[in-house]
Amino acid sequence: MANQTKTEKFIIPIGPQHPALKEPGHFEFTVDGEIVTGATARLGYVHRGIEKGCEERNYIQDLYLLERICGICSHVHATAYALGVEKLANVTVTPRAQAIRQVVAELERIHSHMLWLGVAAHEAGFETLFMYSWRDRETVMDLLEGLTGNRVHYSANVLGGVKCDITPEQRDAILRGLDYLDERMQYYMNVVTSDETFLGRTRGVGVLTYEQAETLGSVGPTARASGVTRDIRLESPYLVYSEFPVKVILDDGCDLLARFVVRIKELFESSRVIRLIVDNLPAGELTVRMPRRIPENEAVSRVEAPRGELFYYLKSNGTDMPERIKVRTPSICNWSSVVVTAIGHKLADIPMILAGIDPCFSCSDRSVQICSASGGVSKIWTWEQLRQYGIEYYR
Amino acid sequence: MDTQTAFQEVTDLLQPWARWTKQVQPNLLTVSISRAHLLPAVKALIDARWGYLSAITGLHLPLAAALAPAYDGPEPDPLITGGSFVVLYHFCNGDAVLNLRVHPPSIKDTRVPSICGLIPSATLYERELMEMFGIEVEGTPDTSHLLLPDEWPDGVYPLRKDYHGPAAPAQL
Repeated sequence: MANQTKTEKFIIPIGPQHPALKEPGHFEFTVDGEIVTGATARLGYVHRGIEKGCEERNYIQDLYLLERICGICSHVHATAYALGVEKLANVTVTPRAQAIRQVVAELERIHSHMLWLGVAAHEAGFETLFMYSWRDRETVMDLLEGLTGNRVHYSANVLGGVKCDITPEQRDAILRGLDYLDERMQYYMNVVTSDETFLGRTRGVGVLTYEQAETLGSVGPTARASGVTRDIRLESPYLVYSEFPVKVILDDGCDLLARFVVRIKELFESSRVIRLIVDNLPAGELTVRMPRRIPENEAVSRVEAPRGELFYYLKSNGTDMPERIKVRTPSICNWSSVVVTAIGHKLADIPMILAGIDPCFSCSDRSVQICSASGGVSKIWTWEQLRQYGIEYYR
Repeated sequence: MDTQTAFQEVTDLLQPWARWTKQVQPNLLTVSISRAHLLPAVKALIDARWGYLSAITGLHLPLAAALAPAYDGPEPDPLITGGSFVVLYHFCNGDAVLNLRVHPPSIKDTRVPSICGLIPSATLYERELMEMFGIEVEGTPDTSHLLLPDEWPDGVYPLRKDYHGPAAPAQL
C-alpha cells in the first residue's frame, strides 16, 4: 500500500511524430491523473541550416531560399528579406510594387488564418468546420495562384519590386472572391461564438493573461487575444500600411475563444484593406534596379506575419553574398506561452492549446543539411546535385 | 513616440555604460557596451519600459573585423586566431530598434552573462547562441540542444565562419 500513496511524477512523451499536429515536435507532459502539471518542448526536427545556407549564396538565391522557410507564410519571409536588402542597398521601391506586396501579404494572412481555423476545428473534433474552412480557403488560394502563378510559394517578390501586376480582371476576381469569403467569415464567426459544443472546448481554456503574454514575449494574434497591442503593421508601418492602415484587433478574453475571435476578425480587416488597395492601386513601375553587390552595412527588417512579428537582421559585407542573416520567427516567441498555459489543463485539451498559438515548426526550426535518406543510408547532397536531381526528375 | 525621441531617450538611458553609439539606419541604433554592464543596461531598459526584447543575434567576426575599435576589455592578443563574437540584443520600441552590442574579447573568451533573470523568454535565444556559435552564456537556466540533433558532435558550431558543413557529398 505504501507504493500507492507515494506521489511520483508521471511523464507522457508525445512526438516527434505527433498524434495531433502535422509537423514534428516532441513534448513531455508531466501529469497527475488527467491534469497536466508540467510541460517541456523539444524542437529542431525540421532544422535545415537555412541561416548558414544564406551566407553561402548570393542575395537573389537567398530570396528563394528564405521564402522556403515556411510553407504557409512564404510571402512574409520574402518581404521581410527584400525590405531589408533594399534598406542595405538604399533602394526605394515604387508605391505600386509595395501595394502589390501588401495585397499578397493580406491574401496570405487570409489563407493562413483559414488554414489555422480548419486545423484548430479538427483538433476540437469539429470536422465539418475543418472541411468548410478548407474548402473556402481554396478561394483565396485560387486568387493567389491567379496573381502569382503559385498556390504556396508565390515568389511575388523580387529584390527591388514585385514580379506580377494586378490587372483589372484580376482586381475583379479578387473582389468577387472577397465577397464570397466575407459572407463565409461571418458564418464562421457565428459558429465559433455560438456553438455550445465548440465553446465547451474553447471558453476558459488555455488562459494566457495580459501580464503573462507581456513577460513571455508573445506576439501576433496570441498576444492580441490577451489584450496586448502588438502589431508591426501599426507600430512600424512598412509597405503601404501607412496609406492603407489596418485596425488592430484586440480581445481581453485571454482564452482560446479569444484567439478564434481575434483571428476571424482579422480576416475581415484583411479583406477590407485588400479592397481599399486594389481600388486605389498607385501607378508606377513594378521594379527598380538593384545592385548585385551590397555595400557593408546592417539593417533590421520587421513585418507582421500571420502568426506575429517576424524579425530579420541582415549584415552585408560589400560582396554579393550576405555576411549574416538572422531570422526570428513568431512561432518561437509563442512556444513559451504553450508550456505555461498547458499547466492545470486536462491532457485532452493540449492539442487545442497547442493549435491555439498556430504553431509553425518549420518556422521555429528554420535554419540541417540532410536532404534525402534513401535505402536506409542518409545522403548529403550538394546544391548542384540537388538541382540536377530536380532536372532529371521532371524531364 | 517618434523614432528620434525614442533614440534620444535610450541614448540618455544607456549613457552611463555606452562605449560608443552609432545610428546605422533611420530606425536602427547600435549602442556598444561592455559585457560587465550588460545586466544593468538591460535592467535600465526594462525599468524604463523602453520596448521589448525582439531577438538576440550572434555574429562571428573573422580576425580583421575583430580588431575594429569595438571590443570589451584589454587589447586583444593578435596571436589568437579565429576572430571573436559579437552578440546583439535587439530591443524594439515602435519603429525604433536598438541593437545593444556586446563584444567579448576573443574566441578563447566568449563569456557573456545570461539575461534570463531579467527576461525569461531570452532562454531560447541564448540556447541558440550556445549551440550555433559556442558562445558561453553564464548562468542561463537551460543548456540543452534547441535546434541541433542530440547526437550532434561537441565543439562543432555551425554558424561559425570556419564551419562549411559535412565534407564529401555522397554519389547520386
